[in-house]
Amino acid sequence: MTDYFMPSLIYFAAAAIVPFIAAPRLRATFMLAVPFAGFASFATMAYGTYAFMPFFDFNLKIFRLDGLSFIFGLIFSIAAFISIAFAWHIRDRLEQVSSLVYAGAAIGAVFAGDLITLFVFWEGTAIASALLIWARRTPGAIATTMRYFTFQIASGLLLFIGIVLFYRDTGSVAFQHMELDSLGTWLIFLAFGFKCAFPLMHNWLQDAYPAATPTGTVTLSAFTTKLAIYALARGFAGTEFLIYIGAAMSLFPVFFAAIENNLRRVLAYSLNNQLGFMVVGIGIGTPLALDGTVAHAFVHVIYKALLFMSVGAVIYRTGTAKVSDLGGLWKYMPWTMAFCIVGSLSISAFPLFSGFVAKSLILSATASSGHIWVWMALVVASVGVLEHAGIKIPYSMFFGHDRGWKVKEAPLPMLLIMGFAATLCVLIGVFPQTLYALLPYPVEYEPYTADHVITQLQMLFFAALAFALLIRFNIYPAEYRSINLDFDWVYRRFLPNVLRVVTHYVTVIWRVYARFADRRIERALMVIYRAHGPQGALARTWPTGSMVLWIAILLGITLGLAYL
Amino acid sequence: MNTYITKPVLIGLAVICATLVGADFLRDGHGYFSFENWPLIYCAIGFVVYGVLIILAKGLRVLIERPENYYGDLAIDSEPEPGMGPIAPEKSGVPHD
Repeated sequence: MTDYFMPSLIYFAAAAIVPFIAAPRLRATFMLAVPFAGFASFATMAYGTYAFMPFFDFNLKIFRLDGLSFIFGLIFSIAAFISIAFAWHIRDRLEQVSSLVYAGAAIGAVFAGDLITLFVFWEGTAIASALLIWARRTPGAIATTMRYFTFQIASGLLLFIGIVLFYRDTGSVAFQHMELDSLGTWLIFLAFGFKCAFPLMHNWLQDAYPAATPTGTVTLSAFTTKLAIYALARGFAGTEFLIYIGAAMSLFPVFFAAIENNLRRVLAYSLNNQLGFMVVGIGIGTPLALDGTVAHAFVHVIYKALLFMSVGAVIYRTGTAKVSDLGGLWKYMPWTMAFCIVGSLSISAFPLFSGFVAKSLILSATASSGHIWVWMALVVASVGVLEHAGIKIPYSMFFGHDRGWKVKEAPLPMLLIMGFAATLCVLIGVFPQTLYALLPYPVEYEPYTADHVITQLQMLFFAALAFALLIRFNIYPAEYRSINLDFDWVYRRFLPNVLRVVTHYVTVIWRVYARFADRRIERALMVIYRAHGPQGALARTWPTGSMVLWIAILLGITLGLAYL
Repeated sequence: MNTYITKPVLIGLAVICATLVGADFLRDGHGYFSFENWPLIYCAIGFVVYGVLIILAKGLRVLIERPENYYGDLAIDSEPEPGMGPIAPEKSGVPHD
């Protein structure tokens, strides 16, 4: 068995205890302690592989601690703390248990030293995260959970088959760098791609995240996709194909986010766009690019959680996250507005905020690797980020059209945890070397050069000026209740309709064929009936004399023929 | 009517942008690509890309927009957002009439 008590087991043990703690406050306090205990279990350990477990002919390496897994373990611990704290008021034990299992499985996957262990925790995240969507318990949410679960299980299935083929080819299940040179590695790559929301595999993200409970979405935003980023960084760093996938991922969501009415779906598109930056970094694969990806994942988890929390706080008070229903809340929710703006400035990469010090690593690595078109795509995508996450999110909730809302500020526990996340965004932005010191590869990078700060401010403020003019001249997209079709239309409408049409025509053809066959069979039966039925020639009872006569005739014919 | 992008806000933004145009002379011209050193290139990128992005997105909307209940009961789009636990309903705010 294992020789070390893993952090994921702390989460699972806590999940087993939580349902039996009756007092809600005590339960919430107990849950808050879990991320600290989990982090403490590996914070001071030396890098190495610790927990081995025999499994059939394999010796599983359940706990591998190195530079890459440490920082992801740290950020997942922070994310678990933030999401548990934001759900302080939640009494639903299903949601509480699911969030603990989900965080524990994600952390377990990060520390997995072999593909079998990765697969087990990978499936754990799929099941636990689906329950966070199901916890909303509405017909729409349950249908969404089924779609989400199908995608997650598809990812798990691809991973499983990929591992089997990889083992057949190499005789190893070690989770380390792989080349896209066999069906097995391609399937593993696609499994990671499903969870990373590659283009055309992305819609589970925009479908499911707005469907979870407001607290559940904060939890969801942190783990699944960043686990996929970790897995790609571990397994496929330097795979050039990823550069172009990442560029596409960073670009296309900005157009959808600009016209989306549901703010949580806007943030889901934004998440997709941010993953694109990270995937580009993995594809480039240099130490600077990989550090950029890890740094970006680190800061992204915090500012994205902050943005989802601010939208969640608004849902808490207003019961809606729709642009068409919101506006003018700054008077009543000033603290929520302030924290939301910090999140927006961070994701937009304003100097002195966390996004600036992380995103610039990826852009610099892209430029220095000579990928000019990819670099330009990322610059365009950066302007897109400012549009939907930097401006649209805070503007439509707190300013925009004043809809006459008169609500209370978010509850104190929510404000405290939003304030904590906002403080981290600023601290990382002001002291980037603290973050850089945690990165897996040594990095000497100075984000605050005059050139970098000036050009970034020029780009952001001129984009803001364009926004103000578009609003002023009524060119900015109007807000009203609607949805926008995306690739999910293919499997939610097109394919079911195709199936319906195919079913219809197959039924018609079958009926025609059946009628035709019926007639043929009926005719055949009639012929048989005529011969063998009660009046049939072959069924009649003949007198013995007739039979003898016929035998004599037949013998006579035979005799005649014999003489011919 | 949109009441927040007022003339003072526009003037304020214009002043900041004018300052940043002036700051362009402080750049040391150490971009990775030669066109990065063109004067005011990042001002143009920010302004033009933002405008083009919005216009393209509006064009896309014409093609892909559908009513909120397009997917019927199989989606959350026309469902009300749930409260956040048992204390949510009585604390939730309501809009003015």
